[in-house]
Amino acid sequence: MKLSYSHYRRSFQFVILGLLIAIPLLNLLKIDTIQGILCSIGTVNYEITCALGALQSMLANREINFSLLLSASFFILLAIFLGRVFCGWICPQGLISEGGDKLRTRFFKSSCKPDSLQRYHLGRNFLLSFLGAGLLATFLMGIPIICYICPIGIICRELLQGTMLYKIGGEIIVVMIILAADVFVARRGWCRYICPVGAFYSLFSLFSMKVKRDKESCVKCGTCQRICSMGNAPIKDEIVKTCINCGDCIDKCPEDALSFEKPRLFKNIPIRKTG
Amino acid sequence: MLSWFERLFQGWSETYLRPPGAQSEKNLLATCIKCGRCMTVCPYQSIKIADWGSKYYGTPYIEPNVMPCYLCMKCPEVCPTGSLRVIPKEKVQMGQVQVLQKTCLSWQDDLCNLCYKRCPLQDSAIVLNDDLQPVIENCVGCGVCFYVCPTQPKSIVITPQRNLL
Repeated sequence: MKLSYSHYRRSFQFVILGLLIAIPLLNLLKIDTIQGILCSIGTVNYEITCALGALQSMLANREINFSLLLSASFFILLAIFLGRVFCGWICPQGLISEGGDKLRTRFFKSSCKPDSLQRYHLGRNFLLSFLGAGLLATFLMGIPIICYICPIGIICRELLQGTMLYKIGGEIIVVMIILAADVFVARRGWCRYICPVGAFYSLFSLFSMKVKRDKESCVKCGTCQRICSMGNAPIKDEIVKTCINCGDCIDKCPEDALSFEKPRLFKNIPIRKTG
Repeated sequence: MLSWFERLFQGWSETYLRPPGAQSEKNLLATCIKCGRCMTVCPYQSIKIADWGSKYYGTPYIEPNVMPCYLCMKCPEVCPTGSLRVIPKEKVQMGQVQVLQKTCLSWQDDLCNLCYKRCPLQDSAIVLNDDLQPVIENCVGCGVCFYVCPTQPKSIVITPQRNLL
């Protein structure tokens, strides 16, 4: 069997999900050298913190915290080199939304259309305005507002509390609502139009890894446009910052005309091609 | 089912303590990114995460009548945002404690002294008057004495300290 990007990606997502359960289990056995969830994970000396959470924490407290900046830089560097891979490869809400996407295509086969260019720009403006509003409210009210509704944090915290204290809180409703909206209202609606975390990482992805089309071998069948869950159109070379680098279009392209372009910052780093 | 529904919107009790190393309430609410690492690292499972439905959602708290803080000071070390700061345990300020002399067994000339024996800061936070009666001195408010007090209702009153700095 040929291994495609979607195989790697799905297994990576499940590894992350497994880690989110395995770490609290280890903590329960009193092995607490590593602890944490996607908001912040690490040991006492080395840690990785959610970049948006760190920014909010500093904005709300109105004070710069350098150790926090350092621990937040990992995800920012990831976004600079590889784009929004956090959304496609790590985010547990992304995994749930993809399940919703599968359900949606099963329920309504006809409504699975690509976004028009106008709707696409609207979506991007939506994303950025939600991020801006959230950060402004954080600064004015002095509490990290986005953390209260962030489904990534909620899922991780539920897994943490579920494994350690055997209890599930009511905030799981947020995830349910997002899943229902993804199935019945808009395809991957949360990730496309609202999610402030994805919007934040997309700000850094100007010179990152991108999907590239080979014009010679492309037969303009439109498969990539249909398959793209974020509403991009690789066929018209309209792959902009909302692309989460999931690689679905590369896998499904019948002529192998699409491939990942190296990050423009470092042309010399080789990227392994599959297939 | 109803209790589950009630728990959705059960927010917060004013008797909850903040973990050691917390600065003022405002500072903690501003900086905490709700990662829950203090909860996972707590060896006694004293620290819990507040439920959804109030502005305290996701922030850590300690319920001293369920499980008090033993001042092991592991949680400030793992806090990524500096909501809990690394300070010596004598400088922690979590709450204020009072002994109710009317119901305290030791003050009634019974030999109890449980609060004195279990105190993590023995001879600094609680000292004995005449080798018998407990007197609160430089207490940090960890809540251990409140937890172990055998009388019903408890002869020790603990009030959280929220507005420091």
